[in-house]
Amino acid sequence: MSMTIIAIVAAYLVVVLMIGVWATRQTKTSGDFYIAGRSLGVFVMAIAVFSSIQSGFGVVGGTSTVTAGGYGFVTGVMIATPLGFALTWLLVGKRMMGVGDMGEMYTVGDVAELRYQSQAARGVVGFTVVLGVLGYLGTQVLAMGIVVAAIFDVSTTTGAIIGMSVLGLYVIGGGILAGVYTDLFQGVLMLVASMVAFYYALDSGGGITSMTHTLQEKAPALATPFGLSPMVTIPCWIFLFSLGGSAQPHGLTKFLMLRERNSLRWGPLISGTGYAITTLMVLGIGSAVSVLTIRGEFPTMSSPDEAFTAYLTEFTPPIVAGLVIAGLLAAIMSTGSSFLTLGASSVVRDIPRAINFPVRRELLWSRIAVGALLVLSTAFALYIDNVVALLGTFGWGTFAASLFPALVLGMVWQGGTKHGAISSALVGIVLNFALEVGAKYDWTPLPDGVVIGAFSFAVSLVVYIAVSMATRAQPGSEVSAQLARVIDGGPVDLPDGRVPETV
Amino acid sequence: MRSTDRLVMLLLLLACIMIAGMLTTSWRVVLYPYLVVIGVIILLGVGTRRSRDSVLMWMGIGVPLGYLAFYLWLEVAMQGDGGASTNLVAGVVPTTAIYFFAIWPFGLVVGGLYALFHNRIMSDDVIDEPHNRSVARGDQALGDRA
Repeated sequence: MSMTIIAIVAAYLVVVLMIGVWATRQTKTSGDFYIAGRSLGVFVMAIAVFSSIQSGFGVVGGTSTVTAGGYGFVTGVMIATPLGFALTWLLVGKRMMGVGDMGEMYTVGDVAELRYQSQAARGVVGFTVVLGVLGYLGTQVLAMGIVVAAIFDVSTTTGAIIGMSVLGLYVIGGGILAGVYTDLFQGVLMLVASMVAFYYALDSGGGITSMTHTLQEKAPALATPFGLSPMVTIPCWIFLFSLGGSAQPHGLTKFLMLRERNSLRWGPLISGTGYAITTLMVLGIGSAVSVLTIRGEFPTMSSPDEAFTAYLTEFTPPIVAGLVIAGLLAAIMSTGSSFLTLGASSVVRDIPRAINFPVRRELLWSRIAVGALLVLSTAFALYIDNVVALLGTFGWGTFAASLFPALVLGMVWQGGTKHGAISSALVGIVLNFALEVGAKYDWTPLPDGVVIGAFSFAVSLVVYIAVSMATRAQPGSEVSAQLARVIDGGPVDLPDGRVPETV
Repeated sequence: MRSTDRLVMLLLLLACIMIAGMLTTSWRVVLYPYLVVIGVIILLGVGTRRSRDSVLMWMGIGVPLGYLAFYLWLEVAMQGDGGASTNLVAGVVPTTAIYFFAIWPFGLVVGGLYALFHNRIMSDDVIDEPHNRSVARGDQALGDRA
C-alpha cells in the first residue's frame, strides 16, 4: 500500500485518539459514559446517528451486492433508510426525551422497565442487546482486520488487534461521549469520501450514460431499479430498513442524549441527507466495478467483497484511496463504538437490575465491561468464527423484530402490555435465530427471496398487538398518568417541579 | 375505542396481509399495505393532536398517497422494457430514474415535513382520550394541588 494511503489512515487514527483523550477527561459519571450527560445538540446527534447506522456492512457489503446484483440493494435498503429516520423522529423523538425527563434513563432497558413496570421486560431487552452487540462487534472485528491488514501490510489477526485497540482506547476512557464526537468526525469524513468516490466512480465508468449503455448491451436487468434481486425482496427490505430503523438501539439511545427538544427539528433531514450522500459511494463504486468487469477492464476478483478496496487501489489516486479507506474505517469504528457502549450498559446495568442485583460503581464496571466485550468479540471473531456467524444473524433484523414492538410501538400506544412486550421480543429473537441458522444448514421454510428479518419483524408486531389485546385487562397493565401523557405526545408535567424518582 | 387503538388494529391487519404476501411471494401484497403502514405510523407518531390538527392528519394521509402515486407510476413504466429503454433520463432508464429522482428524495421530503410542521408536532396540547381518563383524572388532581 502506498505511503500516502498509510499516512492518511494513520492521521485519521491519531485524530480519533485525540478525541478519545478529550472525551476521557470529560467523562466523570456513568451518565456521561452512557448518555453524554444529556449534552448533545442536533448536529452532533444527527451525524452520530447516521454514521453509526452506516456500518462496514453497508459500505463493503452494499458495494459487493450492487456489483453482483445491480441496484436492488440500493432501491431496497439504502433508499428506505432516510424515510426510516423521519419515521423514527416522529415515533420516538419527543417521547424518548420525555421519558428521559422522568428519571435516570441511560439505556433501552431503563425505558423498557419504566414503560412496562417490569424487570423481566428490562432483562429481555438487555439480553437481546448483548446478543446483538456480540454479533455486530464480531463482524466489525473481521472487517477491521481485513482493512487494517491491507493498509499496513500485516496479518488479519494483527490488523484486527490494532483496530480494536484504537477503538478500545477511546471508548474505555470516553464512553459514548468519545463515541459521538468521533462519530461526528467520522461522519463528516464519510461524507467527503463518498462525494469524492462517487465522482471518481462515474468518471472511470465513462459517465452515467455510457455505464447504462454497457449494462443494457450485456446485462439489461442490471440497469433496472431492482437488478437481479427477487421482486419480493425489495418491499421486504423497504419495510425492514425504514420502519425497523426506529428500533436500532444505537439510534434509540441517542435521543436520551439530547440537550433540548428543539434539537429534534432538523435531525431527520440531517441524518437522512448524510446517509443518502454516503449511499452514493456504494452506488457509484458498485456500478463502476460492475461495468468495468463487463468491459473486461477490472482485475479478476475471488469474491465481490473485494470490489470496494480493489477499485480504490486500482482506479483512484493514492490520496483519494486513502481518504475513502479512512472513510470506510470510520464507518466500521463508528458502529463499533456505539455497540461497545450499548453492550456495556446492558451487561452492567440492565441485566443485573433485572435480577435485583444493581451494580455499584457503574462507571468503573462499564469501562471494564467495554474491555471485556472487546476481548470477547475479537477472540470470537478470530478464533471461533462459527460463533460469530451465528451471532452475526442477530443484526438489524433481530433488533427490529424484538425491540420495535416493545420499545417503539409501546411508546405510542398505551394498550401495549408487558406480556406483549416480552412475548414479541422472545418471538423476534427465536424466529430470527432459528430461520437464519436454518438457512445456513439449507433449511429454508420461507419462500425464496423473503427476507428473514422482515418476516420475523411482521410476526413479532402481530404477536405484540394480539397478546397486548388479550392481556390489557389484567391488573398492572395501565400506565401512569405522566407516562400516558408522554405516550400521547405531550410533555412530562410534574406538578411541583420536583425531580421524578428514578426507575 | 380510542383512535390510537383503531390505528393499532389497522396496523395489525396490515401486518397480517404483509405476512400473507411474503408467504405467497406476492411483492405487491407486501409493498402496498406497507405504504398504508407508513401513514398509520405517521398518525401514531404525531399523537392524539392529529384529531384536532388537520395539517398533521393530512400529513399522515398525503405521504402514503405520494408514495402510492410514485409506485403506480413505476408500475406503468415497468410495463415497457425497463432495462432496454432507449429513452434515458439523466443517464439511467426511466424506471430507475423514477426510483432515484422521485422515490429516493421523497424519503427526505418526509424529513422536511417533520421540520416544517415541527411546532405542531411538538405542541404539548394533547387530547385526553377515553382510555386514559381514569389515570389522567388523578394527574389533574395533582395539577390542581400545585
